Amino acid sequence: MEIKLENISFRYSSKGPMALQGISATIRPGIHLLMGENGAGKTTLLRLIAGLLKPTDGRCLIDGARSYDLLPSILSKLFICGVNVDFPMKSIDEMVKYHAPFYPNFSEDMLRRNLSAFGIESSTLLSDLSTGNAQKAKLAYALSLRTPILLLDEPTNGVDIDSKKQLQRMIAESITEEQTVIISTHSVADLENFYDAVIDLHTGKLNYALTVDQILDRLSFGVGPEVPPDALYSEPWIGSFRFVLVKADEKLTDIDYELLYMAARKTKLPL
Amino acid sequence: MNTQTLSNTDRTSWKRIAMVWNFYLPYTRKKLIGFTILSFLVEGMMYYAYTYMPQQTATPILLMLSVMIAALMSFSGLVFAKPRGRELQTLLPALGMEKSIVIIGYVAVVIPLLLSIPSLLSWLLGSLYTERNVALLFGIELNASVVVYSVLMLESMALSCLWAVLGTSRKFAMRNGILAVIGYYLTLSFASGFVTGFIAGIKGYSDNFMDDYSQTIYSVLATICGIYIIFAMIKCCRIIKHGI
Repeated sequence: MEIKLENISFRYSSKGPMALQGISATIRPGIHLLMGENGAGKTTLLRLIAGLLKPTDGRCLIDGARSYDLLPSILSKLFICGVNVDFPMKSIDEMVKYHAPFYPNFSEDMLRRNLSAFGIESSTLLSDLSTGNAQKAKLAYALSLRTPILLLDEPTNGVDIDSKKQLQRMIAESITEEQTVIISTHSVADLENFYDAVIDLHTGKLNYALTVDQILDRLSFGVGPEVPPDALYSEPWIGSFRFVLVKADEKLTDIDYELLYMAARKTKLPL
Repeated sequence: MNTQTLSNTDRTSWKRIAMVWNFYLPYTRKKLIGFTILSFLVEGMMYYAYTYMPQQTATPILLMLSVMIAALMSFSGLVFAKPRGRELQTLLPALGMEKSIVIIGYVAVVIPLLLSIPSLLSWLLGSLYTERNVALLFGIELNASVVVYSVLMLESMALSCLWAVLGTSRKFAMRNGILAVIGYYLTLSFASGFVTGFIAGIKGYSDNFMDDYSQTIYSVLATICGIYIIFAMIKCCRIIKHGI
């Protein structure tokens, strides 16, 4: 499913500051990293896409329908999960019984598998779980709904390092190529190396929305004892330096998301 | 402008209304059972008071029990004040209309019916409430206007509670629901006094004033409640669809 953001602006109150300004992008299937500093507008953007907020200007279309119209045909293909999104039921079992029937692609097998990977019982009350475990249970449920659009707002908040790896594996195993997953995070290093695209917000504006391939066509990332003279941005890193360069050769590099994030804020990148 | 034509999934469906009802069952189930038991209990107590107690003792007890039933009905919307999952309720894949039918239907139809079943049964069996008995007990002449006004008053109080509960943040939903009912009741009492005074001013007060004009007064009050109910329902539907 395709999400189309057409010049979206949003403010929470009529006299308040703009939370988002002039956001235009087309988001296609794949795993998208939505990054930005605190207050950049990540959660607001996810809520606009979900249809929980109405854009002050512009519109958000999901398969041609306005998300704010909250049509069942769209809602059954979309799910949002995050620390600020409470589940309406007391346990995952109750969610399966009362909530999951609205989602035609729900897979109970996948849910059981994901929950057992985290060592969580589906009958346990969510209020009895620690913040991290409750978050893991919610994520396991969200993935098992297998909605074509999945919005994950700060999914790694409160989750321990080991579980972050498990979560990364779980997402990689559960997500199909047809699904559009947007993962919002301010700690970009948490789930590295499995994104297909990056959406970068800065103070409510869109820095860029590009696929990983498009970024790697224009930039390369490196680590070395010295900073190359043509580096666009560099910073000290464990006794050496890591840097961003304009791509000059065919040599493949991995994206250093943290460096990309910092570079986009400190200098003008050719993106 | 919506560029997608309405698919069959986006038309009102009874199946989905049943699913939404099922979705809210963990919230409402205990209340539905509790209210049914309580209404039979209250009816039994009313029957006992009416049958075995002298009228001076029975009347205040019956009044108290009636107020209790009215309060249960008025505050029935508090069940939706649970501090959980507002976003996922808004994003539940059903039409706003379908969710509204379930939520408003619960408050404005299901609970009043549950609370009325024992009374209706005893009325149908013809043993307890005749027009004359109710008139005797509550000191009013029972006519269509009074009945319509009473029903609309209770419905509007219940909808005020629901409106306040749905329209405020989770933390204050319960408190605001209670305050809304109290506030609405006080406003209606004030309106009742105002309407009575206004009609008395126009028609001239006499000893038989209430006998002559009670029907007019209750009709005006019923109209005020009716208009308010429509307004409150529109507001509730909007909040149910889009959240706060």
